[in-house]
Amino acid sequence: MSEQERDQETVQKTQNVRRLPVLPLKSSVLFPNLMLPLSVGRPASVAAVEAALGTEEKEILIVAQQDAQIESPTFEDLYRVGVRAVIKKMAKNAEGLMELLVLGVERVRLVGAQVTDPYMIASFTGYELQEDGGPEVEALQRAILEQARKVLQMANSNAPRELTQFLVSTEDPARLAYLIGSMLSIETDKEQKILEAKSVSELLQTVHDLLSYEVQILELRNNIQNKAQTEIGKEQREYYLRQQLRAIQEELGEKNQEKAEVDELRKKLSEIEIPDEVRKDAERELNRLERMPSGSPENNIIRTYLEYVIELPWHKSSEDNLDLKNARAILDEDHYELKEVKERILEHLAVLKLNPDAKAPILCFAGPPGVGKTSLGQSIARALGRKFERLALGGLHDEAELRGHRRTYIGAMPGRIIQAIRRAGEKNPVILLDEVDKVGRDFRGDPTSALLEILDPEQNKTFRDNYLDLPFDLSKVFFVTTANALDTIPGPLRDRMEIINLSGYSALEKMEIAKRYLLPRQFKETGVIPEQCQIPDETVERLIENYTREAGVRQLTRRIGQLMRKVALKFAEGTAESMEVKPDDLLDLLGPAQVVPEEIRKDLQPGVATGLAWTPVGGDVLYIESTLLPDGKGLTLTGQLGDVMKESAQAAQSYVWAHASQFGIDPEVFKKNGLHIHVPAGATPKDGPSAGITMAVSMVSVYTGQVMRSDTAMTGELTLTGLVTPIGGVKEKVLAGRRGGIRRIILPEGNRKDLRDLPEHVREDTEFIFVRHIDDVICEAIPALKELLHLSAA
Amino acid sequence: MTFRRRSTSLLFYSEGESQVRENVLRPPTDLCSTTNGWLIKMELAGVRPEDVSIDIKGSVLHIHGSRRDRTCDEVTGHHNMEIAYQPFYRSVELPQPVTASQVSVDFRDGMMLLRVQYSEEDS
Repeated sequence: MSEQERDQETVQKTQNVRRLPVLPLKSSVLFPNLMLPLSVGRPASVAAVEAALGTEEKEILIVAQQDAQIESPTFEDLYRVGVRAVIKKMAKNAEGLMELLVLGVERVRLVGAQVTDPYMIASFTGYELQEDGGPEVEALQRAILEQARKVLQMANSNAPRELTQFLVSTEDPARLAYLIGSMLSIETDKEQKILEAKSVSELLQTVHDLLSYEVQILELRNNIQNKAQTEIGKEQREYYLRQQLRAIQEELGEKNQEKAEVDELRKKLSEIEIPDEVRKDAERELNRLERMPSGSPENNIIRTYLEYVIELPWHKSSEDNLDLKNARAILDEDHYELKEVKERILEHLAVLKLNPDAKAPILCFAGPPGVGKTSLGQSIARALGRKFERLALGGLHDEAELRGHRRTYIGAMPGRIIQAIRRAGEKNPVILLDEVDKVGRDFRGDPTSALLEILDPEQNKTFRDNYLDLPFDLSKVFFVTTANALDTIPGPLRDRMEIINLSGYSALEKMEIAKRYLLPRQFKETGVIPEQCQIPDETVERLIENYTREAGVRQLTRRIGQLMRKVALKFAEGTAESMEVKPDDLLDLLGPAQVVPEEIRKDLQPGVATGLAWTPVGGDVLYIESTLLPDGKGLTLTGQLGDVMKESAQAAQSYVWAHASQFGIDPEVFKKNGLHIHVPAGATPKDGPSAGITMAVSMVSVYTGQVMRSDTAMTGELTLTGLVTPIGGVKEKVLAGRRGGIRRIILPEGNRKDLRDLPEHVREDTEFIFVRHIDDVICEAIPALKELLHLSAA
Repeated sequence: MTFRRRSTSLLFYSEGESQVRENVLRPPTDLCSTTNGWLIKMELAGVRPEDVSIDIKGSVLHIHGSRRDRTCDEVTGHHNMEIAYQPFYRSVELPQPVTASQVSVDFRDGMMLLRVQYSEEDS
């Protein structure tokens, strides 16, 4: 076709102006040779369709609106390029809307409009697409196909194959472009641009551009989606695999061990009775455990923790044995005497009988070793019918030992208190804190401070162990502590405990203990039958006096044990069938006497006074020796005396000097001579004020040259004005004096009450002299001065 | 009507393919042989004989025309329309060349019966 011919054709077409009713489209564009379903509702449009249907050809002009918002568009609001179409099908639905199926026939250019009410009739001419084939079109067509394939793949993976094949089979490039244009979800103005393309190459170019844009958008969308998916995917994958594993294990009949453990714990947890707060915490931990992979190191920690929590007796407590008679029988069975302790325990039982919620007392048994403090704890538990747990606190110096380690530490454990309660399996055991006076204290902390909380009935209701980190009620625990010396226990701790002094036993008491408890026990242990071996009381007495030296009975137990073994050896060797161990046989069996009681000095020299001292292992008889030093000066004190004792010596000296004339002492003696006081045995450290009067007597004796009565011993603190004030440890001192054969004892008036502690037989055969003033002491101790003093007093 | 615009559903293409390819109708057509020639039957209900034209080019018959609505005068409104009023086209190729004299057309019961009869000499 030549240039001229084309022009001619154009002119012809321009002249060939036709008219058709116009159907304006709001938001879509019809392409030639393609079908489009439409819904027509606007009255003008309905009228236009009706008019078209009224013709033989059923043709209508379909043109897009430039602005979709306009309800009744005029010619100016329409694009200038549209499509002549045939209405293929029409149906009216219930709402009066017209459903149309139109087929695009030919692209046209609108040239004018004739507005006839109610619809628009437009005049148009044909507007054919310029055919400009060649390699460019071919290339564009292939590019478009490629892009379209991509879009289809990305947008919809359901059936891209057939669709792609269909596109490929479409040979006509213009048709392909229109098809793709109709399939893309793009704006009306872009579709219109496709429709208005002058030539095939321009048409393809336009579609290609739009497709490229679409590809980019889709790629971006896919990227975002993929990213989100991979992030979720990772976690889900693991979860999914785990679920699968579980399913497989279940299928195989292998119960998931981990799960089984968690289930077991959960079951236990639901069965036991625990406080709500604890249950909440435990369940939280359990949930954590469940979520945790089994390989995690924390897994084990949490499991151990939970097992601990579950095993603790949160509410479980033993029934108290409230039968007082029975309890008393048990206590008597285990221990001789110790009335005070037994009374206290029976009192508590009585209280429990009346008020089952009564707080348990916190007792502290203080006394020398071997008097039965520890075994007393045991028999308390037996009498009450509770579990017994013993914690040795001696040498403990880490606070965490008592209160536990926080769970963050590797190898963390609960404290000893909680451990003991778990062992007991009940929340109300008797816990014996042994040797509470020997708790260490260093940079790692002060365990006594932890004890303050544990032993306070007000606070220990919610005792928080560091490991458990849960409040545990210790208020039902019957705490018993033991101590040898109270002065090393810090005040606040001592204050929390009800202190019960267990002083040493007298020889008679020891005798009873030996007969009632030690001998039968040793018989049993050595297998010697009591009928075969008689041990008379005299033998036991000899054992106590010559082979032991103690306040308690531990050494005595050992000695008896030793004796029994010797007897057993004799029986085993067949050298004897039955025997009676006489006191004199002890030399053979046990060797020479180990202990010679402090020799009672029968003839005292001037300057020697007999005192009584208290020691942690009981009492002792003490001689204080004074001597004048010619040409000497001042006061010399030897014998490892402590500060308090030195000061009391000075006070005594000052009193004697001040009252020299009263005692008939020449003051010149003081000026000429120094004074030396020595307290044997020199190697034993001594301290305390209770030797005050003894030192004063010793000084008076040395200055006056008069001797003291040898059957008398004394103890008491001396003030500078000569008053005698009470001292402690009366029982031990008296018993020690008796051991030494002293039957006449001078005590401060203030100590009269302490005699009640003494055994009946001791009180009966000992003479006690109670004094208020040092003068009375001198009168009683140094008979030679008695008259002199009475004179001066008068 | 499941034809939905911009739908990527397969249904659209498999059903619409034949219609989309050409913007004209392809009336159903039977081709039968007779004792001395061919009978071409075409479903052309509602098409007037004067609206059909047959071009013979060698051995190929091009049949085209269009269906027009002839009831426009009495109709006052449309409520449903399913009959396509539009141009149609079919072409039939025969083994031998055909001349206009050999062709006769007859319209009966909405069918167009086109007969091609060869004379003794032709065969």
